[in-house]
Amino acid sequence: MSYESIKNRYDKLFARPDIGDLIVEALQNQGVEFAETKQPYFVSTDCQLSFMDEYKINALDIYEENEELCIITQAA
Amino acid sequence: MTSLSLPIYSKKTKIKGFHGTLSENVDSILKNNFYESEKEIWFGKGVYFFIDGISSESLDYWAKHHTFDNCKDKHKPKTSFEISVLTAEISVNEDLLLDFTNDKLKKMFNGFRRDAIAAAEESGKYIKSQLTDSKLLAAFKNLMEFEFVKSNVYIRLGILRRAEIGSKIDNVTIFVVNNPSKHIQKPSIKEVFKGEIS
Repeated sequence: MSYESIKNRYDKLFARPDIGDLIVEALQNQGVEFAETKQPYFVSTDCQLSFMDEYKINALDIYEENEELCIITQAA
Repeated sequence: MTSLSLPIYSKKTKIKGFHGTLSENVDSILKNNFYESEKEIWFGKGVYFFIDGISSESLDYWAKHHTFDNCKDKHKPKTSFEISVLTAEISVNEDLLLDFTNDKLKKMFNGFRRDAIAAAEESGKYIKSQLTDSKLLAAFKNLMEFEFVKSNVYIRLGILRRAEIGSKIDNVTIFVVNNPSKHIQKPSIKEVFKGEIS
């Protein structure tokens, strides 16, 4: 049956340790874009300082990823 | 990437497909074979045919009216077009057929879609909202070396279009062929209708 043959191909392909990279490459070949660097999150210095003060943190880096604000912090 | 080592023996079947086009394209198709659309539509690039399946309408009906609707949308305000319907015999290697009318293969694609999203997210650089069906499908086809796609779809044509009926219930079976010169013998291509449609 052809399904068995296709399933064997699928299982063989998805057993490869580099399958994640292969998928990403296949998506890139279709024009899916992957940002080279993290998207900078633009906030004013005043706003950053106020945020850091409010939450008692020292922010080492602030960036946006998948529409969420990511903050790399160090305990104050 | 390395080849998946497709089986040496594969079951082959013949399928008759109906394809609509502007009549001005027919000579070129008869001489050079079909050419693949590059547009990001439905199931990605390929030659699209209507085939026997779930439709209650004739297949030339779909080919004529789908072509007319496409032309009408693309070439406004022109309202009439000379359209041809071609039939062709497609030689189908079933090991290369991604058949969405088969639940097991549909399930396989759904697994791939989940894995592809996870792989994209894990890369840490993925920009969201880009994984359209056609891009995911094209990536899957390339990875798995599929050259045919079969699927039931809903197309709003004729009375359904006039009544503006949207539906999630499929009404026609389509078949997409990549590398047409490999799978369609030119002598099998016949013009079965030519006429002005308005």
